[in-house]
Amino acid sequence: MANNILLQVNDIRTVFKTDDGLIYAVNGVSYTLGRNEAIGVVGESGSGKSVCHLSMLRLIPQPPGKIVGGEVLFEGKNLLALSSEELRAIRGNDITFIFQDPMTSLNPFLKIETQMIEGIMLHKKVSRDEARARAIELFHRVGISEPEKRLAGYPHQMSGGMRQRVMIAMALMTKPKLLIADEPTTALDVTIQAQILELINTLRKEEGMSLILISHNLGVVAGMTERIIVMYAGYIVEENTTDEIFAHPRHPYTVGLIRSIPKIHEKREGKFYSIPGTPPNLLNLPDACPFYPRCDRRSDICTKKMPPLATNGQGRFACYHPYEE
Amino acid sequence: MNENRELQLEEVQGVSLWKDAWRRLLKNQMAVIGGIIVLLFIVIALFAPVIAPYSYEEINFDNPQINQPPSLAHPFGTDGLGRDLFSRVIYGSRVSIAIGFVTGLVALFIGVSYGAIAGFVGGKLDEMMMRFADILYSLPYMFFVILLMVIFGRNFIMLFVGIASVSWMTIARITRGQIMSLKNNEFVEAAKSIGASRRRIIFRHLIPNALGPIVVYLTLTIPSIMLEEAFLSFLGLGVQAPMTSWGLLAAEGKGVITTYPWQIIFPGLALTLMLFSLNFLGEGLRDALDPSQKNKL
Repeated sequence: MANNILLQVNDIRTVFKTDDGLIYAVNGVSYTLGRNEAIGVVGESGSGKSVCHLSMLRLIPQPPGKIVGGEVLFEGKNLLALSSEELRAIRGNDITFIFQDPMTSLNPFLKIETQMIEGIMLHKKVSRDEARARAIELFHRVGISEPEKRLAGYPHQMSGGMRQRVMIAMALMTKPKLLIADEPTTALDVTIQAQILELINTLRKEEGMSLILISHNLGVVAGMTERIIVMYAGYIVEENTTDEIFAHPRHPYTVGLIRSIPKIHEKREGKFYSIPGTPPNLLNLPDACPFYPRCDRRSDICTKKMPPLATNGQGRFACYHPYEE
Repeated sequence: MNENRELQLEEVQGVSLWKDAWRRLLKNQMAVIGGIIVLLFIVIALFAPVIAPYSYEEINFDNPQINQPPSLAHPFGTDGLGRDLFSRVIYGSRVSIAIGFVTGLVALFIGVSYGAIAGFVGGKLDEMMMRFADILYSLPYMFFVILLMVIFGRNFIMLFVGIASVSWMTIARITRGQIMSLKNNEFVEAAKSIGASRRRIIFRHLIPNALGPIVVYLTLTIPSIMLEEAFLSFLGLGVQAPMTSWGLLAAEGKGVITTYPWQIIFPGLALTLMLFSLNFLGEGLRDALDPSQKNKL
């Protein structure tokens, strides 16, 4: 079993220093990810899901950001304790990222080819021609026609969907063990979204990678992952297998998220459901359940102490008044 | 009949931003003319010994040769020592252009590296580096150059060092500003995430993106450096006789401006023409590299 664990995150905490005080962006996130496993991380904007995963590779801007605690064990090595050279050898090699906005994630001044092969040339002992051949092969696989011509072009000559395909191909160049996709389809229109997700899913299975799919959309994550982590205000509030999360959500926040997915067969009058209120201000977060102001099951204890993340069967949840199974 | 109307679909070629800017530059007539004149001056400076009809230092006291007005033999006339002014102006272009371009490039190199590092790293290092630049800024730069000249002697190399050491600060500030606005772009995060080092990110990803405004500023710095050289030589701190520069020629001519005006007019014209051309080229470059700025005040 221990051999099957690729990534183990223990109690990672990240804060940002601002003029108004500390912003507690990530507040002790722990989870494990197995080899070839795909998990989804879901939460609203500002729930810390992106910051948490950027922190793992120390990619948040420091300062103002600061990783104040925890460890991130990737194949037994603590990424937070490595020297910057050792870390750079893992970034873009064993762990690669796909970012949210393909329109701005490519350097407008460099040819596609230069950017495609930059990572592999940095990490692997390959010649330019070999790197190019790999790029062409991947362009074929992500469905970019005329790869040779595209490689010679520049980012502004491509559409958003195409650029995201380029980003995906780029992330696969070095045959990484872990792919972290941070809202890979948010900036794309819906028809392209489905194609891109399908593509990531297929490639992941073919290449035998692990995948962390970060999204604010439960629906996006549902079809592609085996497990889902729900984050709120920098905490994990619930974690379970994808089937269980949908069948028996325990945390009121998860329940709210699921209820706010519009269902196609449902007849409705009036507005779509949304969780009342807004996410809390992360400045000087008190020791309390961060969800209680928006929760209809709250009681006094919720305001006094953050509920612990209790293990329950295959899953975990942090709530004093969970929904029953 | 239909054969003549066949569709001619041209294939879209990969066009880099630089090529695009180049195309826009070529459409700007004033900039192209400016560029041609600058190139012409550079060629003249390089081939001065071939082009100049006389030596620049040969003194000719034969009576009719002193202070001659422009004629066929001496198109720009002669000076008080009987030297051909046309040849002097041609040789003078060497110093003026060399100072302008070499010092400009040195200032560019120092300024871009300095500003990029300060802007990218940020924080305390940025504070320290920019305050140091501010201190240099606040020194009266002429005084600084004169001081250098006095300490190290009036030698040609010191002229380069002196002017370069006061010209890089503005470039550094512009670069820093550019880098600071660029460094939060996602492509920088993407470059970090593939394991690129800081140096690689600064020099390969950020500086090319910031180069537009820097190049424009450079074309405007070179004329100001040439003016400074002219001014220093005018004061007697620059180039030494018998070598000459446009500024020095103008200084020599100023004494006889009422009696032999061509001695100041021709070097002045050469300098003015060069400065105008560089400025037009700079304006054209600005419009070409940043089309959204065009026609804006």
